[in-house]
Amino acid sequence: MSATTLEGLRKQLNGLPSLSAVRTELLRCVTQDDVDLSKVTRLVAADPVIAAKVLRIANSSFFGLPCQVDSLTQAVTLLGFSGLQSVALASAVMDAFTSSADTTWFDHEGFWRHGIATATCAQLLADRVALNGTLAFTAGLLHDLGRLAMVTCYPKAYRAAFDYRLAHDLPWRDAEAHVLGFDHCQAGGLLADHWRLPSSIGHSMALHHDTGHPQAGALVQLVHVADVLAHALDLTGADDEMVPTLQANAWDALAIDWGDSSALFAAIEERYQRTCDSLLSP
Amino acid sequence: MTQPNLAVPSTPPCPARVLASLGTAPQARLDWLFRLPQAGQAAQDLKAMVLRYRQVPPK
Repeated sequence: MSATTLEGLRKQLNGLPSLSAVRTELLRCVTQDDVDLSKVTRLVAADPVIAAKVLRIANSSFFGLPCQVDSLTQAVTLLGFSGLQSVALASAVMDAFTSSADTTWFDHEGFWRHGIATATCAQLLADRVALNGTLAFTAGLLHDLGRLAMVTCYPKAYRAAFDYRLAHDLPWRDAEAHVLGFDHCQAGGLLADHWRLPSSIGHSMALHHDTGHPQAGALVQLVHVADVLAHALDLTGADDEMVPTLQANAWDALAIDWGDSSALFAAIEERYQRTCDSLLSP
Repeated sequence: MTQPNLAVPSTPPCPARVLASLGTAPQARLDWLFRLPQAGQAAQDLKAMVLRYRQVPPK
């Protein structure tokens, strides 16, 4: 195994499978401003795992249809465009890191619940600051992916960071840096490079706790505020939940209209639950 | 008179899972969630909005 350093992590990532060409293209496609629905449908059809998930969700009790949906076109119609985008991109990355014997202690579902919570907050806040909602959803969903890279490549050291965090009640970033010498933001930046993700997504993964960085644009600021809001709304209800330090520069720069915030929070909670039901059910 | 020890402990005063059970008391739960140092007014504004939502959910 490579040494527990950023350079070691880079070597370890090179040993992991890359995102398939279809999934890389799908990620690129769904985060563009002018999305080509027929192309997205074709790409979904080319990936059996994602196609099966889209069909399963279309046939789930959520839609309550009396008959079986067996064509992808029908399923796409049912899910709607934004539904298809969310399912496609979430499926594209969620099974890239799977649980192993060394990582049974790690709460993968809890990890994705927080990703979905941040994605949902980012998507709904994006409407209020005129940013692309699907891009915001994607960036929110993937913002902490560096943690999964760390736990996959260094399961024992990350377990030590997990224990250290609990014992000292610290933010993840501090515990990771103390035990491993680098944090999930740095790991996320490496992973984004390895997967050749769009730079806007990569910056969100690397800079969501460092919104004063010159490369941290509006999307990074949005993901940061969405992350803080997801924790503040206690969406995952985790025992060790903790609101990260809110960076005032991001809050001020976005100048979000918080009018009728209670209605916004209710919409976030409702959509979060629905998205979890769709994406996390076995 | 003995002075109280105001030093910040290096470990939480009580396990998170115990405090999590305060979920039915919105103010207590929010105070716990916002236990990291927060600078400026923004975090206070956000906390106040969430508290208002928890105490008086929209109809």
